Amino acid sequence: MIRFPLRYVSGNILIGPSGEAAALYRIETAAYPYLPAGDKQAVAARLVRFAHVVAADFSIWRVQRTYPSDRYVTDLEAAVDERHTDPDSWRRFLRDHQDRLSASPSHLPEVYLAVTLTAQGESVLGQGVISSFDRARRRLEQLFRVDQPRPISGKDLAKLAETERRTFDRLGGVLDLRRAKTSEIQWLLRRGGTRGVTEPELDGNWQPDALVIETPDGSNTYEPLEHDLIRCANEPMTEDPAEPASLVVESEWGTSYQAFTSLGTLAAEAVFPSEQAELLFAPVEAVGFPVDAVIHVGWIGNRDALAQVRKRILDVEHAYREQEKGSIAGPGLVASEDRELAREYEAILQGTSHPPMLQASISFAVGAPDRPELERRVDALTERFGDVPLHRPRGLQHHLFFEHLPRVGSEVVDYEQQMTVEQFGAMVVTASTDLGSDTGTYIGVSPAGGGRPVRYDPTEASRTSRASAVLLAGTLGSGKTLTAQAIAYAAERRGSLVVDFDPKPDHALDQVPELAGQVEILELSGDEASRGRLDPLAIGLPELREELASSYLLELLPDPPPAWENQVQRAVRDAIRANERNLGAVVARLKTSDDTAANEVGDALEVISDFGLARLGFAAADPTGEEVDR
Amino acid sequence: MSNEPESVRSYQRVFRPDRRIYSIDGRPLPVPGGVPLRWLGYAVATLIAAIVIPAATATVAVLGAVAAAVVGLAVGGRATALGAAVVAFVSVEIVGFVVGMLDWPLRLVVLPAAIATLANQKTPDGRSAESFAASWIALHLAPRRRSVGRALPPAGRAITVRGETWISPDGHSPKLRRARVTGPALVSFSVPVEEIKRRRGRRVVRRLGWHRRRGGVTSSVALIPGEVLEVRP
Repeated sequence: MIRFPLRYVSGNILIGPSGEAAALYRIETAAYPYLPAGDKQAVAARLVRFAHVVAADFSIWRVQRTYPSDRYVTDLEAAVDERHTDPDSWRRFLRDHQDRLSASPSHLPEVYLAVTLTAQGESVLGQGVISSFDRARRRLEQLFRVDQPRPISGKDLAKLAETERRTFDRLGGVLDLRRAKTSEIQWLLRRGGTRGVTEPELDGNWQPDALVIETPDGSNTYEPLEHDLIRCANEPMTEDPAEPASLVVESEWGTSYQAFTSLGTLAAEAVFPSEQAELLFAPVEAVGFPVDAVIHVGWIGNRDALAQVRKRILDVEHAYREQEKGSIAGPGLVASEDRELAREYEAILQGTSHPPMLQASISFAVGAPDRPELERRVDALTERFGDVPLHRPRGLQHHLFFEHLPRVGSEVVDYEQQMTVEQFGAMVVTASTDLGSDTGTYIGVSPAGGGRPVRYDPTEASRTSRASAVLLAGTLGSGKTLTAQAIAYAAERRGSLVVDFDPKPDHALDQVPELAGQVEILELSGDEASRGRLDPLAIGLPELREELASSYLLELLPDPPPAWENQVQRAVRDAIRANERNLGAVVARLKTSDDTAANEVGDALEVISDFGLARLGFAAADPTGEEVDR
Repeated sequence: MSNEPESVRSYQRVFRPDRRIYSIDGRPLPVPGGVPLRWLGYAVATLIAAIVIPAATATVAVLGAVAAAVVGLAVGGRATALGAAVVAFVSVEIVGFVVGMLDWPLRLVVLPAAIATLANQKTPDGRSAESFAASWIALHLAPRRRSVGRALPPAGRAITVRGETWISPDGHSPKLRRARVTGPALVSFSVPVEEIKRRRGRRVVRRLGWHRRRGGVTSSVALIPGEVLEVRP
């Protein structure tokens, strides 16, 4: 029997059909593939730590959102510096990028976490038995379709909100998470119907509604209008027994062919970091098309876990003894290994960290616009998992569809399996192949994750107090120069002054048609033709010219006496006051001064100004207007 | 954190014990590797079915039909339940007839052993045979096209919804209806009514008629906090 998994949503609190509740959070993903092994282990360790502190059942959805290219122009058009460029050319540049991004089939992973909430209250003797009986009665009523919806009391909602606050505080120290927004819950519900076809259209005013009823004792109860939630995922679906296990979902935006697979037995031993262990990241990112993953986890505290393991120890010991006594061939290798494994796990559970044990089921959802493409995608995904079996259960496709919607717990128990917290952590569900800045211009695509767009914001480093130097490393022909050119070109379009050092030279920015007439090429040579091209009084910013020119001149002089320093500074000041825009004029001033020290330093600078590369800094004393403009 | 790769071990095998019987009463069974308990379970269930079905075909058929109807009701609806019950009834009758035709060694030894071996070895979709069978039956019983588990007609077929729309009356109704109002409130009536004051601050309003009047005529009643007005048309 299929039931819609949600009855009501209040804020980020999900309430299931039997009154069970969970809080939904969005977890930030972490750029992973290019980390050193130690940092990868740190990512896994955070997840292990989370599994320790969560102390409740939880579910994690890793879903793929189409790259939000429609916001690209809007996000960046305000970054233009109108003093130095034409805003229209900047907008045209961005629109070209947006067109390119819209045409690319890239997706971004988003990770959501639902933690089961148990309202804290005074325990009453026999309450557990009564609530179990109540749950069984309600299931029976649902089976015969005679159930009546029970209102949710305001008091219960307040208790859940309080529990959610505590849960958020507890988990906030371990994972980078925030409360899920109503729009995100709507998206998670609606996207199931259009998986593999398109992004669903969202209703900006959507909010699950409920009738608020005042009870005789003056408190409020809520009777959810469940259709608000159900209508988000009530597309007609067909599971045709004649076809490979899959669903045909007839959504308003097109027919989507979807297949749901469940993860089978994990490898007996996996190396981390490796694709074999990173099952919720590596295979789903490597296939190049969007794959949704969900893990529903039953959390078993250390004491209960130990009790279960000890029972299993009795089992394996019993099997070993039985084989020893009864089998003709004596105890088998498997029986011996089982004994060791059980003892080993008992020792782990008894360790100082007292880890919990997890009972988890993992499933994957793949969507496609037609059946051949769906089969191709399922085959590709199954192949990526290698030795770890991926089952495609017939008759459970409908149920698994609802497992991928935001919900409280899981109803498909066929693929539940024991898992250690280390196995869970090694799956690195929060890992991502995202590269680059969140904002900034589009400079290329990442090699992993199906060619995900990479953006670069040159201002990000200074805004976030990080080093602003960027290293482009790669083999010959891998695109280092092109990337640098793309960054430089985007900065120029935005209105920045770009200084490009081209030692080879092979950047050829002057040959870009859009930059025709705007590129000044400055060759660093002592040639007379290059004289004065880097004259500080000519190229320096007005407010910095004086300091720039003085320090430049003094640096050229080896150990100048204090009198020379004074004369140089005075001459520079006078030249700037006289609106002279070249160091040649400063030298001339020094030489014609009445002061002996000034004459001496003038002579010294005159010699230096006509020597090698120093010519670049000394324009002639009477420059033409052309030189100054340049 | 170390930069060396770590090994992540799985202990799932410990939690999936393959329970087997190697000896009975100290005597080893002549089966290498022992007899799996699951195999024994399947064999015993098949044996019981092979004994009971031919012996009481009608009773088992009725019970099977009831069970199938419950399952059909859960996965589909009333029509599915009926269909499942009929199919189950007929199937049990046929199976009862066929099994009854078999000789006892075939029926009581070979058939249970064969079914148990098959069910024990096959794990379709990575599940146990009975779990797969349940899903398979549910898939074939349930309507093909569904929305949140509810049956839908095939795509393209028009459906007609027949029924009555009930409208809940409110204060704008032209008819005086039963009501109980707790103060503070000012209750207005569109027609004059008779107001009767009872004990303990209770006030009753009824329509004007040919009966003997016991109170005054009014078209609005003001209630103080806690005061109760009952409207009895």
